[in-house]
Amino acid sequence: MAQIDLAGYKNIYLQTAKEYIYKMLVSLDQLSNNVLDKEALNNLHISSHSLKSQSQVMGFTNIANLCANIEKVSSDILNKVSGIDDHFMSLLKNSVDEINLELARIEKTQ
Amino acid sequence: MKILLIEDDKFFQKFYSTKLQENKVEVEVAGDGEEGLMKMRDTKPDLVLLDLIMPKMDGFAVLAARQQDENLKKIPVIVFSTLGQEKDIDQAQKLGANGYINKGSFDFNSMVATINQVMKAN
Repeated sequence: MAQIDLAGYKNIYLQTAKEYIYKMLVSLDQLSNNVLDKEALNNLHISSHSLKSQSQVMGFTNIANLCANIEKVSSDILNKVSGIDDHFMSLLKNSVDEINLELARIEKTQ
Repeated sequence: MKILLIEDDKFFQKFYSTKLQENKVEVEVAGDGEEGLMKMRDTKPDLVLLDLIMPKMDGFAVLAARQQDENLKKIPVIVFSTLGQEKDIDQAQKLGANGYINKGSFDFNSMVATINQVMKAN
């Protein structure tokens, strides 16, 4: 694989990652009020997918894996493979919290 | 060569634009599917790099609209995928996508090889 200097992309990564986290938190808040809110689920799915992809490129595998889990859960719920309940909501919220902690660590190492 | 990048993610917009421009490729960017279709018509790119999962109008809808338009059909389209999206790639290929690039494990040489392969075949 060609070597790419990724340091120059760190700021834009952090900036967009925070935007995706905000969108995920808004979606989770909306789902807490209405578990059938399809638009909120869809936004959660898109945000987790997008953050996963850019985290993979940057080599932030912990965040990529956490996002992959959120993406899988939201996709399963969207496709009616599974339903949403308190257990899933708690899993999703914990994952977003963990991503936030990881981002804070990355920011500190700048 | 002129490439239209249809991608909603600002990180990837910057990442791909910079890498392609460094390699003397003219890059036009569209932030969603609707804008992408409009720019496909207006700027007549040699190739389109298309994200599949986007808000507003996703990549599948762009491919479906392209299939209905004789002029747009002539423009080759490479879709972005990530691991675990094999079903999406199948669906995109059924809708006429000419190739795909793995977004998560970025390899510029492999990307250039895919672009060249698709351009030669079209």
